[in-house]
Amino acid sequence: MKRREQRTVRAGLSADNRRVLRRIERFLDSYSLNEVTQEEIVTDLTGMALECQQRGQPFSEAMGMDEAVFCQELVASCPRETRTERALAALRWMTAWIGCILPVMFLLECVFPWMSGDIADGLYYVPLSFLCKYLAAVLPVAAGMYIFKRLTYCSRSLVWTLFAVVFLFVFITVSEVSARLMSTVILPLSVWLWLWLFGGAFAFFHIAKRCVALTVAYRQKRKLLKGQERTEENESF
Amino acid sequence: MIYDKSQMMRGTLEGCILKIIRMRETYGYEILVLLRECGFSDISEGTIYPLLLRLEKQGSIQAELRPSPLGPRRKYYTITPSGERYLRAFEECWAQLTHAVGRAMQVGEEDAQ
Repeated sequence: MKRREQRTVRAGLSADNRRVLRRIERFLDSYSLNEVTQEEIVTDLTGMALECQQRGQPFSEAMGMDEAVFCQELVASCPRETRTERALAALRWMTAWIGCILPVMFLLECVFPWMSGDIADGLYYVPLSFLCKYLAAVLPVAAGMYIFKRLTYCSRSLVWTLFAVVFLFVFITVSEVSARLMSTVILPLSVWLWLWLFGGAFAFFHIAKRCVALTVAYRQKRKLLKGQERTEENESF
Repeated sequence: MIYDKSQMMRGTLEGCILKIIRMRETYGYEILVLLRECGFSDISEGTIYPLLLRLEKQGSIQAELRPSPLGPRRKYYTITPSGERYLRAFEECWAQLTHAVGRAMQVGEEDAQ
């Protein structure tokens, strides 16, 4: 609901205001805030930006301060991600990356048939060594991307450049490992089954993370409401 | 050396915002306009919003989303019983502080004369 509302409101924003909002979002991303709280903040700020625009005032001017300082003030009173949320986010990220390996290899095989694998009977026959090489190349890159995403502000281009460099480096290094060191076993893999399996795991981690985020965000509100009800009862006595 | 008044402002603005919200149910921009009318000329929406968020998270105010004539839904704030207590404590503290600071400034001026 919030995301849909945000998208509708955002469509009405000018390019400058949208750019400011995007910078704020990137900054907030690097703080590992509770995702529900972060969405609430972004929705509020999007509405604020649109109101400023309709008053004829640029959003950056209405903020009256640097975006970084503004975000630091904001995050000071917001709940951060719990360990469970962080673990689920990492698992979701890794599942997505590993889940992409086989379809990517399959597509590469379709375009460059001289690669290591074979396609027959709806199955993709891939040498275990080749799969291991891909896994070895993807895992550090995915982990690095995950860490970089959370540590950098306003430097997506830097993250992507580092991603490309690290991927190429790891892939070249891994591809130099002698095939004799690895097993020559050939695995018949169903791409569809693989996609269903990792797609399901990704959906599970995504829903679990969302549930935990909602619980954390609303637990505080429920506590406050209960506390207020109790004091009202005491005052009435 | 220039005096940095932002730290002092942050604490006092919270009390002023609560006082305005206690007067009537209101929203961010209206609070800003009222504060500017009171003499806080150099504050902006960027100053107000983090304070409103802080007050909301600590349970001093409650927000309700309502349609606004300017487009997206707008957050209207009301004070909670805990906010009332917070405001009372602020008012007492502020009275003591202004009294003490006034006295200290007076003593300083007398000594200078």
